[in-house]
Amino acid sequence: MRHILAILTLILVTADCLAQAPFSRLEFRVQGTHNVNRSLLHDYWHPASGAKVSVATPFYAGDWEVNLGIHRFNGSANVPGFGALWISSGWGLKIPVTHRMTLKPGIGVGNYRMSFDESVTGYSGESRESDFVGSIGILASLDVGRRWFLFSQAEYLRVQTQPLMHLWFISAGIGFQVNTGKLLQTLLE
Amino acid sequence: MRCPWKTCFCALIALGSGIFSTSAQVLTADDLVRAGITRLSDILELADDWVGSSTEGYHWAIAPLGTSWEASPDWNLFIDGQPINLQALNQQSLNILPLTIAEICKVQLHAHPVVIHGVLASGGAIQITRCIPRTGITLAGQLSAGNETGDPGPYRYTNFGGSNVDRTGPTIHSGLAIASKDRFVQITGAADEHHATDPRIRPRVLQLYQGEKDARILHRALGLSARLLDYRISAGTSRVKDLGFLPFMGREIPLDQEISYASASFSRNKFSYSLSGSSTALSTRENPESVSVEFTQRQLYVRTSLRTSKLEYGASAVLADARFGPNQKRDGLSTLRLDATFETDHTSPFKMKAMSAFALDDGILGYEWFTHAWHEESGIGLRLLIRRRALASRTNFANWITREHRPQDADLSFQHLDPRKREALYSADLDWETGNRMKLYLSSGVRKFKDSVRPFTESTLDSTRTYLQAVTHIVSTGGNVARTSLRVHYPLTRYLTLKVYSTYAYPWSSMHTFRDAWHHRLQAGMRGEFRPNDRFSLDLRLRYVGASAWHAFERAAKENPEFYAMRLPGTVHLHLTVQKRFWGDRLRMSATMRNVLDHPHITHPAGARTRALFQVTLHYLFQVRNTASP
Repeated sequence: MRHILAILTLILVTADCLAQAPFSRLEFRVQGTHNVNRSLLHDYWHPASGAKVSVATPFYAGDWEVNLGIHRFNGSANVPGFGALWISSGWGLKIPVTHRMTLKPGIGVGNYRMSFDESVTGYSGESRESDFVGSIGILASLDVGRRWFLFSQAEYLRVQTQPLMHLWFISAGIGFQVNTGKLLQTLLE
Repeated sequence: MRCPWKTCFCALIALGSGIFSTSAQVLTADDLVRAGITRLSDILELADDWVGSSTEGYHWAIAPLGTSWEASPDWNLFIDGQPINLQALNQQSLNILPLTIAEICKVQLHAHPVVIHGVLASGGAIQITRCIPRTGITLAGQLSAGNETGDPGPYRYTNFGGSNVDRTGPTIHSGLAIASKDRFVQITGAADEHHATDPRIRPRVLQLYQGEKDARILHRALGLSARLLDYRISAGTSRVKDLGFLPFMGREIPLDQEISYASASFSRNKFSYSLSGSSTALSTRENPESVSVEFTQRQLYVRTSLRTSKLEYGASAVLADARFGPNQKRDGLSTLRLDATFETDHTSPFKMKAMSAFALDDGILGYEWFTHAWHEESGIGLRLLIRRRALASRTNFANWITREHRPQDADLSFQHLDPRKREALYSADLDWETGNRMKLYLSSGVRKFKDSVRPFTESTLDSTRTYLQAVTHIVSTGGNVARTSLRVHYPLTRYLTLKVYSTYAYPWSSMHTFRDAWHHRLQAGMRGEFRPNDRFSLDLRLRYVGASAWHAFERAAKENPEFYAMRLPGTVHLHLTVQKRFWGDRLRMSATMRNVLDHPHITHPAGARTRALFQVTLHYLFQVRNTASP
């Protein structure tokens, strides 16, 4: 959490220097994701592939984005499998590497909703559960046309359950960007 | 050789051509919105020199650090200028007030003794002023909901998962206002829900309910604010159901609390009148353990005053009654007070406000003397207070208990106290406010309490981890508290403002009942605000709350190190709010992350831990036939 604090402080301090025309364009991304790490969770559940869609736009500083991800964990013998829906809002900073290649480190916070295959008869008796999720990651993109680009992303998710869920995802996908119309830009502003 | 601190200090003096605010901390409606405040108790997050404790994260016992007595706070509450006493058995929770966040225009937090409309608030005050609605018809609604971290998630199917931690809210506020140029009526409603499911308090609560139900705090409220025929009218009623922690019992009980208040004020020429009544009732719900507390308190306050150019003469009376136990054993008290306030004219840079009052508290003569003098150009102010009044002047828990009343099932004991003895409070504070662009507020003060009658609770942890074994003594005690506070507002850029604050209090006394009472020592923090325009804001708050002295902590920690894994509060909070408006003021969305870094935060020995909370708020305002001006 100290790292998030440091990043946020850095954002506040550098916000003015990074100022740009906010909401001037929209960037859409679709990607396939795969969980690659092993932790306590993986002793009981096996990850299947997932997908994620994102919309990003330039903010007062950096880029602001909204992400929607789904992935599934299949349960072993004694535990039910669950599907996870991850909705988050994030902030990233584009760093040009070459003429066509860009790196974008970013952070995000959101909600991680789990739907279990079978409900429990325990105290809460609910088959769904939502928890706070924080993420940090880096996205590398390569322009393949005026509007289209290919990208890959490495991302770490920390779901604030007790014990914590640590999830590393590797993903790849395609994206395109358009200029924001006047009406939409006014609305977003 | 450059000396940065010296340069900075000199720059501050050079900038000191005026004062930037009163010494009260003022929070505007915009401040509350930008900070993502959804419940009234969240205001504590923005209070530089107020501290609080809570067992379940909903009801907060709050007090100005070093001014009031935290175990038995003396601060006064004012709604639209009228004093409202909603204390019940030593507790006054802001969240039970029948007010909605959207109708609040201004909150003034006085961490010093202050005189408000002739009433001396010796232990500080919270002054809430509601907005006068815009002309036309206004309909507003707000919905907030949050989720606290610490759920077991998928681990509940394994041996690693603990019990479920439920959501916070939903908190629903709504309001309808009809206003013309010189009159208005505003009706508000609130509904709130809080789940008391933290693992630390869950066993206690489950034991109480014997596992029959989940523990929730349910709040419903209805409020009215109006200006009709030159009268300012304010009224409200609220009901909190199901659960309450009573410190003198050391545990939660299934409690319903109902509060109501109504006030009316009228002012014409040199005369003004005000009348307010309040009622608070606690009753216990049926429960398997047959724990029972029954208490009702009603209070009527009347004041009239006559104002000349520099003087104001006032007369006020308080009539209060209380009923205890299932048989509703009844007792009453009355107070009559005459006061005179002198105020210098506004032309001179030197200003002074001095108040003297005599009072008869249940037939016992007492007096108050308060002076606030300040120099506008230098920004230096001095406050002096002497207060000697009988215990009956405070309609509170200690007062009723010394009259040999008691709620049922509480382990209470009291010394033989002379009811005719007057409590004394001597207080002196020196303030300095300066700066235009960069603003500085520095304050130091000392308070001396003498023959102060207080509840003193001795708590030891029950070995079964269910509740504190609490014995409350009503004692006459005395001691001193010194405090110092600093507040700096520094705009780093056009869009970014940094606010830094710190308050330190040091209590000392030869009496252990004073020393061992719960005192917070230190609160320090910073707040960064990024506002590129009036439609978007990013608010970052970082706060350290210093270790307080809970006298039984060391022993309890030794006996049960797992339960008391850390010192009381002594922790760092990080709060972040993002707020965005659409279509002017019509639609507002905000998201708040409340986080405690490194360690969970325990604000009360028997309390829940706060880790992190994520909260989303949606506010919608609909206006018909509105004009821009109020």
